[in-house]
Amino acid sequence: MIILFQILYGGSAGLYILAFCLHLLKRRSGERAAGFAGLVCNLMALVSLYLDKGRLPIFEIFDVLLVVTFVLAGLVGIRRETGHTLPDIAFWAWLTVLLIMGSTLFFVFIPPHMNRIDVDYPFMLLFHGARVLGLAFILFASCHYIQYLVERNSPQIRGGTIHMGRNYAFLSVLLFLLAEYAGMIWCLEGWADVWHWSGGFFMSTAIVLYLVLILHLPAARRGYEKARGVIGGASGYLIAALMIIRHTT
Amino acid sequence: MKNLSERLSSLYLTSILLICVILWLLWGMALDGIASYAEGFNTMNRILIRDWLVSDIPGSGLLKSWFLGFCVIMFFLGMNLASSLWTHFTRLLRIRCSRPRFFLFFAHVFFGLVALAHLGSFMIGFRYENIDLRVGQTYEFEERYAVKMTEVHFVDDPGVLGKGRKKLKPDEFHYKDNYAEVAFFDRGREVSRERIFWLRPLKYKDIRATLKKFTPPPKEAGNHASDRSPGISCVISRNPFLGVFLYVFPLMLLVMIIFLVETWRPLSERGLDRVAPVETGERNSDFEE
Repeated sequence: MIILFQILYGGSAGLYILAFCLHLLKRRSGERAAGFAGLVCNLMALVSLYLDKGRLPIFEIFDVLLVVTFVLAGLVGIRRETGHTLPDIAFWAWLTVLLIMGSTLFFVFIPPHMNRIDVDYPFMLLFHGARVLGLAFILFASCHYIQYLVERNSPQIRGGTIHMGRNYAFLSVLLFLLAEYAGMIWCLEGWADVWHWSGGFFMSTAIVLYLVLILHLPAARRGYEKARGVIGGASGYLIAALMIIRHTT
Repeated sequence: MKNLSERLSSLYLTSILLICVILWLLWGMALDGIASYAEGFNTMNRILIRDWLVSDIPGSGLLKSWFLGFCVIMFFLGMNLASSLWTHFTRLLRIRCSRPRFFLFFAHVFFGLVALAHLGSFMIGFRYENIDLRVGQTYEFEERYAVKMTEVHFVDDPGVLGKGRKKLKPDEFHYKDNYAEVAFFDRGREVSRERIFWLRPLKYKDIRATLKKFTPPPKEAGNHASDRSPGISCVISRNPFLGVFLYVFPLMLLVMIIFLVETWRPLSERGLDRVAPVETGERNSDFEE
């Protein structure tokens, strides 16, 4: 099973690199084919992880990042934008996929630390699952905000890019809030409280409020629009860093 | 007066306050990384904040300052939310009431209710932590209620109970099979009798008896079988605002989902790019309709 996983993991990484290269060469059909093949390998790698560990790959940081690459690559695949100039949103998204895929290598040798006895508890699964999806969506939103910063002097494209960034950031807020709700019920049933004064709860709340901040930044002045681009662009990477720190310390 | 109301409902103020809360929470995370403060936070979790604030637990001075600072920021954020809701409400009455604006308004109302419920649950209700019970033992509280443990059913090796929950493996502890039966009394009359499992508490009105963990059997066990069985450690709590969390929170998510669906396409694609901006002048392209 481990050898099969290694083949699938290496295969998906290689295919994502190929898709990125084809994107740089503007070979769109080749990029889509390589991206799709990478997605299939990534999915099979996740399935083999599930079969090996007997639980969904949403707990360990290595598994979490692998799910994030899968969702992010899927979002690149279904994107509507077909820009003819580089960099475009897909450029940033493929770079992010490769960055996240590369960062998984740092966690290959970290032994599993989660001996959860409630591994099949639905609200716990929803809590972890929604956070993983939320991270993938905010990373995709970040790519839109970065692209907006690159092209913000072109009024025709600007509105659409930042609006789609806002949509994915909003989806991410919804998923993180759903995780908060599931976590609240989990905490209530297990510890008799909906809130705990602890680092984990502070981090979850800080993440949600950071996402809410992106959506509330006023856009009346040009300087604030740029600030929104910067804060939105950094959001996915900051949240990923926070979650990695939380998982590894 | 109008000027003050506009300033209080300003998105600039919202942004500044959100940044303040985030920084405050990051400070809290840093404090939680220091063992002595982490223990202080644990104490905050064990009792109601109302009781913790008036207690004289040594070393809690910095945490109390942190908490009060947090409350001050949240107070201003609450004022900001209340005045923006009022501004939005009057706007809804005066200008055309678009569906997204309507849903956005209610998403904020529901968020305000959830935040108020959080505040209320810190101050109102009760919480009795670390109630250790063995078969036949009773715990009385609030001068009218009592909880009695009548039976324990433990299918695993009690030897694993000394390990702590985080170190237990799924094959060492089967949380769906191990339970304790408890009876709940109100003024001496039995009003409920249920099996409580981990993650499945006894519920009577808005009172909960939650099983936190099983405790190892006593080292000097008697002859009776019940003397050799594990005990339980539970929490008895009452949170009158639980309904708000459980029902208003999903409503808030629902209206947010509808808002997102309604506003997914950019204004230009929805033919709304010629709509005059709201008259207060402050614009946010994310929320403006």
